Amino acid sequence: MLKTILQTASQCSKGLLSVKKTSASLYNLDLIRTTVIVERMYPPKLAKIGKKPSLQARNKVLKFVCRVHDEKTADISCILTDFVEGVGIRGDLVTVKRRLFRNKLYPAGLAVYASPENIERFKKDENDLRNQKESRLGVFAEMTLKQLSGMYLRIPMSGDNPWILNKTHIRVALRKASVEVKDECITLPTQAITEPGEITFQVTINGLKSVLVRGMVLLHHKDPKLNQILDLPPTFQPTVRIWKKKVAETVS
Amino acid sequence: MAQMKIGKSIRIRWGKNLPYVYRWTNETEGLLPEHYKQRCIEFMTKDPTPVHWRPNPNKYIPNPKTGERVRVQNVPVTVLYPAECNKGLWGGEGIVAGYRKKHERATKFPKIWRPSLQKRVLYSEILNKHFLIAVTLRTMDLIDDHFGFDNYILKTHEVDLCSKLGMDIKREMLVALATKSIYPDDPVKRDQILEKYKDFIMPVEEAEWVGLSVPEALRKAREAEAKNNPPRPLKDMFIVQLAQKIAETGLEDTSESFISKLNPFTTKPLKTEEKP
Repeated sequence: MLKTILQTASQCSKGLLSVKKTSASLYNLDLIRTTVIVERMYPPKLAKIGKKPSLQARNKVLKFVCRVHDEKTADISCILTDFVEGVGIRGDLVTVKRRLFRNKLYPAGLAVYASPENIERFKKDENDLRNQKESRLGVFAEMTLKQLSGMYLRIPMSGDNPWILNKTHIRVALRKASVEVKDECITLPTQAITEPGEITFQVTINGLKSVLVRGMVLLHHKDPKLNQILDLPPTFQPTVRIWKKKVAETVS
Repeated sequence: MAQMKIGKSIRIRWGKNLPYVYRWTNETEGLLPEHYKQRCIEFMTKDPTPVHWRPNPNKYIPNPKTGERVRVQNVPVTVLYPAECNKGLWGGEGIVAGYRKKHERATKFPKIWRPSLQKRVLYSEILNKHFLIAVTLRTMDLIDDHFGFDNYILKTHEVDLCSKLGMDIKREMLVALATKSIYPDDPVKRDQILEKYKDFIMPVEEAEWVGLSVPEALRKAREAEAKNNPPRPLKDMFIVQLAQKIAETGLEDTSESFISKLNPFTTKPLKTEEKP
């Protein structure tokens, strides 16, 4: 009886430890040791006006109040001097995380402080910027192009009836994968497709930049037993957030 | 400190834990310029902005037990500044040393809170130079509030800057602005920067003294004094003396030759025989 209890207890403790370990490795739970704020536990006696009080030993006993950076620091507003992917175009007044501004944008000369002088300086050439290619392309175009280039689309078609692959078929398949595209943006391969297999088609953004997207045409039957189960690569490959995958592995 | 004059008349700020001190003797006081001494006195007497404690803004508070009105007395927490703080920019932070108690009747234990430092590259627009400096997160926030490193260095008072390195950079910037020696190859950029920081332009003679320690200042003063009064060679002095002497007595030399004095075998009568 005792043995079993001990075993269970040890298992429990192990489990707890493992949880602690994983949590520590996942997120940095240590306090950020920044500016400390303290106060006197026993404030000194009142002195005469214009004279300093005499400090005794007990007055040196301090009480911890807080750290300044316990709360999250607010985002900083800055003006971009160049096109930055996913942030904005030249002359934009944007609010970004302080970490991004201090470590990347400001040292590289991509952004400046939003001081009143700088705001006035960048106001003047606002009209000239509208005709630039970047501004017409948009802020997030580059990132979406990058994501589409690593995509593997599944295009389900009927296994019971004959068909010819259409633009709308691809548009619907893209919508299922949470990508909204108009018909004009899609260009199909020159040969007409009537059989299942791998295909590549083109997607253009604002008529300026285009990207080739890979995909697979699959057959779906009315009788689900006839459907083939294929081993395909994932629809979206990770482009930015790789650390999330690591977290999932450690948890499991 | 007893020899220092400012100690007698003006109250020096509480807790003499400063990053560095200005102190001179009565003999050397005359060498230093007035504006330099004024800055030193300001540094020694001015209270810094509170960093590690929060002062009570009220003048009076009610007593919690009796409800009686009590005067508020803000006593700053003593902060230590080691020698290393003069090599970085800690933004007024320092080492908070004291005791800690868990509750009223517990024994007190010594406790030290230290600042967290990180080395960062900071760019100066005026000097067109990058610095690798140990800073705290508070410094980075202050730089953001001032819209850049240059503004932070130039606008903050010496008491709050709290670093010899910061004052050295400040002096370098002020001299560069005063002499207009920035961006020698790019006149457009130079005018732009001079326009931006026009409030900080001061005469060169004053800018050169900002943030110098007393030994440095004395060395500078003595060098300047030596330059104005160059040492005169003895040769020149003797020539003048000789000329004066000749003018008084004439060219004829009546004294005996020194060889006759040295030679023991010669006699005076011999000399007299030769003469005729």
